[in-house]
Amino acid sequence: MVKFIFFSFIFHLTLLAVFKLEIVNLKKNKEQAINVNVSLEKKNFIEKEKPKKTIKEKPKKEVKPKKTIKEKPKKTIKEKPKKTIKEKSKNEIKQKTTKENPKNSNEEKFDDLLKNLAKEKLPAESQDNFEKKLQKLSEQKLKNSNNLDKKKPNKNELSYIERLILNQIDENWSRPPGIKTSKDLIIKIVVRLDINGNVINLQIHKSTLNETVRDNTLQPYLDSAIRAIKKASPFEGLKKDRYNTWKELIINFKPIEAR
Amino acid sequence: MNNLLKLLLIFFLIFNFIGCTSQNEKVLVEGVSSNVSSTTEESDKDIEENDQNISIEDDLSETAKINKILNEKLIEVGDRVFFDYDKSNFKKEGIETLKRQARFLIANQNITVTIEGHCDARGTREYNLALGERRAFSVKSFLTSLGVEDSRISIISFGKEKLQSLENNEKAWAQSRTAITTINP
Amino acid sequence: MIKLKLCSLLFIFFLKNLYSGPIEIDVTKGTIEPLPIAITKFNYKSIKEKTISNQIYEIVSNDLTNSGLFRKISDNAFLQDEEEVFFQPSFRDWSLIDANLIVSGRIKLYNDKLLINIKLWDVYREKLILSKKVEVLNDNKLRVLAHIISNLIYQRVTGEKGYFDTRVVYIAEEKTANNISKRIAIMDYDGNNHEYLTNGKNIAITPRFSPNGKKIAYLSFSDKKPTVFLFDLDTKKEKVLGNFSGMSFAPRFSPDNKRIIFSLTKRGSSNIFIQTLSNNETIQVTNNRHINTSPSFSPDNKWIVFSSDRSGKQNLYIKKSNDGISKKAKRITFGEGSYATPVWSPRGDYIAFTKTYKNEFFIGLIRKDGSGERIIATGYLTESPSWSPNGRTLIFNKVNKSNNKLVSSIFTIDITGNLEKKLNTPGEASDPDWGPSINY
Repeated sequence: MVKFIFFSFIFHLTLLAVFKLEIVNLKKNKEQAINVNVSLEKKNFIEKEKPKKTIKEKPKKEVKPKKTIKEKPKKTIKEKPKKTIKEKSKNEIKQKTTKENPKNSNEEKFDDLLKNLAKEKLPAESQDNFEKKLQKLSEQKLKNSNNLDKKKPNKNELSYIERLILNQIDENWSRPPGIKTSKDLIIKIVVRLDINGNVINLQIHKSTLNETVRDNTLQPYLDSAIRAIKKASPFEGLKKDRYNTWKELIINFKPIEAR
Repeated sequence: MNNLLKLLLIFFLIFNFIGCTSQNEKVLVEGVSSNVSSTTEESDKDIEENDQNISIEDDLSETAKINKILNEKLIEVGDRVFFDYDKSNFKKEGIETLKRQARFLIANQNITVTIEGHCDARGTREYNLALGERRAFSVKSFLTSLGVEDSRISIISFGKEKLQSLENNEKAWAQSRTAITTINP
Repeated sequence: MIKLKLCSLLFIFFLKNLYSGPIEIDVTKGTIEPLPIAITKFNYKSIKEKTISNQIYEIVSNDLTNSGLFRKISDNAFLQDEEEVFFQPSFRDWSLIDANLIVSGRIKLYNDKLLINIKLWDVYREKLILSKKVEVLNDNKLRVLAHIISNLIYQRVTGEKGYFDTRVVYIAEEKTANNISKRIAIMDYDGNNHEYLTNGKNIAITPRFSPNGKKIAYLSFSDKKPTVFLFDLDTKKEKVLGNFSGMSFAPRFSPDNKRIIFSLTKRGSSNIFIQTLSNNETIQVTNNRHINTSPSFSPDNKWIVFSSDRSGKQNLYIKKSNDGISKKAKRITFGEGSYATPVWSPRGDYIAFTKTYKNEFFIGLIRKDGSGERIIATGYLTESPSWSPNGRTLIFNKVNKSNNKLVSSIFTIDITGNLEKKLNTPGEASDPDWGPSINY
């Protein structure tokens, strides 16, 4: 029994860690459930699409880099540190508040929750998914740490990868022209890639989900962002031996006013 | 203790699954057919008939004959002055033209005139209306300063609605930037 | 014990991630390109339903492509029939033909009621993103109904209200060798139900809708003197705004429909006045010897913007609408060139204007505080922008030069400066003004 308690304690802790780092977004949503299922299928048919894409989009790619090379590096270096700190702290605050609620709640609420969950038939499925994901994560991590280059990425490499990915998403992002221009509005999506650059998992960040639920008119933005990432998959030009550095990406779509 | 931990764990798991709201939207859009406004089409027909162009060719009356002669004289004197782009003070050459016009008007006390202000096509519509008005007015003030009675001169602006030349080059535009004096019938 | 080790190992890995987080990428630009959309025929059972289905298909297809935001995928490419799609599309098939969105629907006629189900599917998200039921009494306003369906789709995809059920007034021009006739015409935004409102005997220009769509204010050269007239769309009768000594011109309604703001000339100057329609009371807003014209209200009725050449050339000025002549207006444009024809967006965020600089014409946008100026369209001659009711699109007059001949037409353009599109009119067209949704 002690073992069990200890096990659950560790499990609990890992859950916390997962929650905090948002590697796996635990706030299961119907959408995400679909996305996860999809991502497995997707692999197959993305491969089918490959030839089409390369033919179509190559010429564009050759033209674009000029612009982005000039502009991007500055931005990323300057803006990064501040923002990530801010957002993390915000999220932490949010999580704290949400964590406190269950403690206060009594048994009645708990029953209600159970009922609701039963209605939506979600727990079984998503638990499966969750376990699969955990497994996958641990497997990949182990593999990665054994086989792949462990060098810490330097700034040059990071900005190179950033530019590479950015170009590929940018040219596939057909932004809805109905721009709600707001400096605060960010569509945040966490993407996991396989070693060939295929998107195998795509998760909408909790903050973005909350925003889009609150304000329905933001849905088109979310749609367009997901479309852009899926169209851009598989990402090309990434070095396989540096898989560790790019296997997971956080992509922020910031609808800043067009020209 | 054991139970409590278990419960907590389960609770934690479950808690993480809530917040998923189903998004089935089925909204009824209603009332498309509600207000059927009846349009009255018949009532306008008589107006239209009245407005048809009627060209009547009759003998010129005595006054009309005189007017025709006067008009020809005015054109001889010079019926118009010109302006630079976006300007309402007429070009220097206009001074002599307007002096002749003033003499002509003082000599023919029984006629009244209208000065039409025009602009070229290279401006916006509403501003050009105002600019045409200002051009006509600057001609009128000059004529009155030369002794023509204020009451004999009325002004109208056509903005860019009646271009003097429909071509599109600098020469045509210069022709259209004008104020034309016309004798009232 | 092994389990325990594994778990703690996992834990350590998560901790490690704290220090070297995943790469974060900011995407800010993107492209503005039409979205490929597959429009399937709405399902039907009877022949009557079939005709309705076809009509709706035509109108919706036309609306969506007209907006410039969508590219319709040819029906020949479809791999799935409309019945299956309505139930559940095979997203993989649709992505193969590059469809990003699928429209499907079903039509049911019973008694004198028409029931339409519309479904919009997102191929990449692989889900139903819009499902609506529209129920109407009879089918005699099918065009409007179809436009409403287009509105729903447009709104879901862009986040903006649709404008497919709106109308446009404009000036139809006919040039002969030595005469130009200009008359007011009205039509659905897509060119349907075209109708002339004036007969062309007198030159008519600058028609402006009242925001409720019931009246049109315009300038007519009747009796040789240019005067503002009001045209009633219900009774089809017109009347003068008022008997003024000078020329009245550049009329525009206030957003609350209650007042008209316009220019009036006196001794060569043009100043701005506001007339309350209920009691014909007129107040003066500007008072100087310059040209002050093209006034336009802010959507909350509190501000006005107008163009004035008091600085030596035309610039845009704003002023509180109830300030009267004593308070000075604030200049908001300081760039090179002249700024004219300001129109306040119904959303309040931008003021659209015409700019002329070195004999070139531009349509631009600027904020109320004078910031954010940008050009969105240009041409041999461009002018008189007017806003779509959702404030996302502008309609404007553009004169193109071909073989040294000038052709005047009206165009729409997205406020990002993309997706410029010509509107079809029977002849040459100018002075467009975008009206509200049709009253139904």
